[in-house]
Amino acid sequence: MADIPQDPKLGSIIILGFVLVAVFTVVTMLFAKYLDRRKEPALTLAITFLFWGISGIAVFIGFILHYINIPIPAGDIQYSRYGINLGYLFSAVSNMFMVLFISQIFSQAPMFRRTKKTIPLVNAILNGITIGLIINTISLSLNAVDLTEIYNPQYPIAQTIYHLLLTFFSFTLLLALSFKERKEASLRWERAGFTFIILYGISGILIYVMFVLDLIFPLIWSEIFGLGYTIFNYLGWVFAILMSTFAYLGYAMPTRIRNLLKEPEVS
Amino acid sequence: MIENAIIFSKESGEPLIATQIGDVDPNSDAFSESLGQIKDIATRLEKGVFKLGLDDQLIAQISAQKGISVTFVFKTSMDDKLLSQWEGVAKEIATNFEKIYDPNNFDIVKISEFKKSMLEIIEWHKKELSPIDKMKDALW
Repeated sequence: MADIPQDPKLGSIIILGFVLVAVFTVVTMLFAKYLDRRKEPALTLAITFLFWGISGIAVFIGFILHYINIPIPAGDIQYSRYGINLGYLFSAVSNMFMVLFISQIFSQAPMFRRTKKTIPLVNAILNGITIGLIINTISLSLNAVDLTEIYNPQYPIAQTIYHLLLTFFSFTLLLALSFKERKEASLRWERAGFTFIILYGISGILIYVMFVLDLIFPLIWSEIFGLGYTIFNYLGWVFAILMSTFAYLGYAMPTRIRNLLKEPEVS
Repeated sequence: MIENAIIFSKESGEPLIATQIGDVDPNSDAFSESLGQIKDIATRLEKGVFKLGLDDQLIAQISAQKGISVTFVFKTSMDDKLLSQWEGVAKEIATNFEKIYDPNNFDIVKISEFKKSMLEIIEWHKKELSPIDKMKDALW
């Protein structure tokens, strides 16, 4: 017997709309950088954000379809569940490319010299498990017999935590290496660049922490948080907007921002 | 760029590894005076990094740890930022070398194997740009 999803809130859909605008602004900037310079790390990072954006689109479409079809009884298509599952699937793909990007930028680090591409490869396999689990969940939901299970793919807490751990690994790797590099940077705008990347990493981790809390807190304190989406769901999307903003500043770093951060020239 | 690399034992005062990477051979007669200057600092420096100007053309960066010191010799045209990046490489080499080096049991096979891995580390560092340079190259 599976549970039926809560109806998505309009506020959550609107915030998600803003997230998509923010993410695809970064995606556009990064692809423009790649087309301009033809450097592999720029392409890898653009693909990382593209898949994260596709993940957001999947959740967004799922929520909208769910919202306009409310109420959706058991046995009918639970759009939000498909959206969320596909969202995690594309987020896992994004995670694969992110670690590849880290290995390209920080290739001088002893760990990448010793292991070459082993770390991104193992990370890709581990994220592949997430993808496999989600495909399995979706295919089970299409062939289920139980009225509450058909067209209603679950996303178990264990699976969400597994994805959180993998995300935590990739962002922590980025944070650790960026902290070290920030110390090495001699110019103010270079240090600022790595500071933005560090803030991007922290926001990235907090997105998934919020989504896990959104699942866990209603189970522990249902009398306080109720059974629907909690404030943590909104906070997760707010951190996604912050993550995109810091990515825009840290990776795309428009010339105007860089000039603002440059030390005044001595005449 | 980097010209040569020398590992000194502080106890014996002898170079355990001295290998040519660029144009300057550390075992050549022309370099013997510079080698003497490096030895003087490399065997006395307790811990940390010391930059020693050898002549108009060359500068030595001596990084000392407990029982050993690692010296890289560069052309003086090398900028300070790049020099500081090589400090990390010297530290890694020194740490790895201390794991295999026993002053009471000198193992020539281990030392020559280490020389290969040291050269690999140096070549990798020469080949790969620093993260800041890669960011500038691809994105900034």
